[in-house]
Amino acid sequence: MENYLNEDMMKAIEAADLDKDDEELVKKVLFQEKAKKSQVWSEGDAAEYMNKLLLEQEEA
Amino acid sequence: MAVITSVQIKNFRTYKNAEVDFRDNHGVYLFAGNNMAGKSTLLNAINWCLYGDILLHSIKNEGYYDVANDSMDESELTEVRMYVEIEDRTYSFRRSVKKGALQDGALEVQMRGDDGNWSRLDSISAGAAVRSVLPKEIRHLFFFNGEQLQDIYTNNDSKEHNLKNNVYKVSEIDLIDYATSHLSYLRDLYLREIKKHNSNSEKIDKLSEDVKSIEAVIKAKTESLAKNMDKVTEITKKINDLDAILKETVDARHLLERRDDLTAEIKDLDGQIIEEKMNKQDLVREYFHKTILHHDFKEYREALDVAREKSLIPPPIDPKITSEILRTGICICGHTLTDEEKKNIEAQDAEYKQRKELQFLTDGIYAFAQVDQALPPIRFAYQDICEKIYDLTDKRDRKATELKKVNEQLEVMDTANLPDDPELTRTRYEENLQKYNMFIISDKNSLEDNRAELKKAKTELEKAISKDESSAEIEKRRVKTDELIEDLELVKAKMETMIREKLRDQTWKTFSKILPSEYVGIDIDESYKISLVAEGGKIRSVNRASTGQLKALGLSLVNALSTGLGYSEAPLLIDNLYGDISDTHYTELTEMVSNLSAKKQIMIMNLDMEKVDHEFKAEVVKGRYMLEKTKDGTVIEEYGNE
Repeated sequence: MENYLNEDMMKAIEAADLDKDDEELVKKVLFQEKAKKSQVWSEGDAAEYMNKLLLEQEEA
Repeated sequence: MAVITSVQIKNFRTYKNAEVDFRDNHGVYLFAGNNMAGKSTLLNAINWCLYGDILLHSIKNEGYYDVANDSMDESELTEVRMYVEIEDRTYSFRRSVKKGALQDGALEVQMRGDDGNWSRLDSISAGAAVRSVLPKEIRHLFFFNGEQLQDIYTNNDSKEHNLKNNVYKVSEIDLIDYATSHLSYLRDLYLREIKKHNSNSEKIDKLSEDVKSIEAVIKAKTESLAKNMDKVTEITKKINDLDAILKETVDARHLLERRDDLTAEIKDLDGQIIEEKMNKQDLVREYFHKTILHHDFKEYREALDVAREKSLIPPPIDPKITSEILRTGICICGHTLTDEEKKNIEAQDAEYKQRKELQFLTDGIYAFAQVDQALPPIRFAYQDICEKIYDLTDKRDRKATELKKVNEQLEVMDTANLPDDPELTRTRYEENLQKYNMFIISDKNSLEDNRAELKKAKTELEKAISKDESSAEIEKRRVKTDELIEDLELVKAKMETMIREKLRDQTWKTFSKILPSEYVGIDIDESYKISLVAEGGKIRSVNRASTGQLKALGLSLVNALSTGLGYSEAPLLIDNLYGDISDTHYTELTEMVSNLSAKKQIMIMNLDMEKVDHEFKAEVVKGRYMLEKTKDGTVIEEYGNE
């Protein structure tokens, strides 16, 4: 995933000095966003996407 | 790095059947041909092949365009095929369309495997291959009309040319915006969900409305604050620019006065020097005459005495003796005779001989009597004059050097842009500045109140929600989503700063090579407005640069966006590179293109091959092609190959 986000984005995330969990979440959100770029989101898409992310985090 | 190796065009607009191969992965490729010969059409064909639409406007009319060749048969296809090498892989992009069908046609992408066989890519991989050549959303940075080159850095309303917009796309800051907007949407969904299950739904409704309306107020105020801050930056810059112009004008006035004074002083000194030189000449002449008389008649007087005693006619003066004495006189004075002086002395010499000897003698004797006393004072006077002339010349030289410097300073000064009434304009700007600063203070104060209000409303909302256990889980997520949005905003702020610095440094790296040394950098402010930085950190408007330099700045930005920000190298395709600039400004642009061509392919369309070819060094140009419209459509021929 790290490789998928560009180098500057990774540096900016690091520079923002977030909690480790939050940092991971930000990376995941942006990674998903990049994957879904140029696609239209439906309500279902958005909910599914966020729920999945948060669930993953809770499980971790 | 994407490299186009070949383009084949069939039945596309003016082209019936044409092909062009590119032999190197970098360098300049020149295309020339008359109007309507097919220059823009070639660029459009490449663009159409990749994206299925038309970018350059010459064949686009009110949004409608037809890619078909007029004389093609109904059974034939319009087709453009390109071979492109991307990171050691060869791809074939082929787009075709039937005559009269939808103009975007169908794209087929194939990739050559290690075994040399071609395999067709599915639509998702084909899209990815096109993106590897060049993503559609930033293609206007690579295909462009030279006349519009400087638009790259102007922040006009056009989305395509807006620098900030382009930077967001290239650096992918736009991902953060998308994410924030999607998360806000999600947050609202959570809230709706919470309300559905919550027994306090009415209260939650009201509190949510409160939160929303306070958020709307904060958003509006934040936008207004940003606008007012932009306005303050803009006005401050205007004042700085005006001050710079005013200062320059004052400086220019002083310099003009100094120039007039110096010119007058130099003229006066020139007069004095001429006068002193004439005095010196007179002294030299006097000295010569007296020296000549002194020497010439010393012996002659004795001869004369003898002649008198014997009542004889006085003997003539030997011309050789006279010349000898003349030389002695010259040596004594250390003076080099001018041609005119030589002539005069020769004439006088001749005159001596012609004059009646007696009269000559009398003059001589009289003069001789004076000579012993006269010579030393003349010598001192001569010395004084020499020193005086030296001082005057030295003074004049110093004034002339100063004048030269003044003139040089005046030459680079631009006093033409002075407003009609600068002081009045400045006062008006200052009044506006004060007004906007007041707005900012008031915005900031009330924003603080609103934020406190929001915090309170949110806490109350959270309380209302948490009273209902069934909503607690979703509420946790809603709060987390909120926090995530804040985190993303922070990341965006960090990234903006980094990217702007990177864009600035990368642009300067290429742009500085063609700018005069008086500039030490460029500045890109928060609204992505570009300025030049002069020595001493003074910010100067880019409009001070020549049109050639401005176009080169556009190219530097394109290069920075395409390479410095981490994007792979793509070819540049430029229609009419030197459009709308005079040939005196070609140099900077040519140099910039030559520098960039060391790493990428640059295709340039121009009217006149010889004219554009003449601009580039032979080693930079990798191919020259002439486009000609014939009855069989546009043909592409290598230029210079018989």
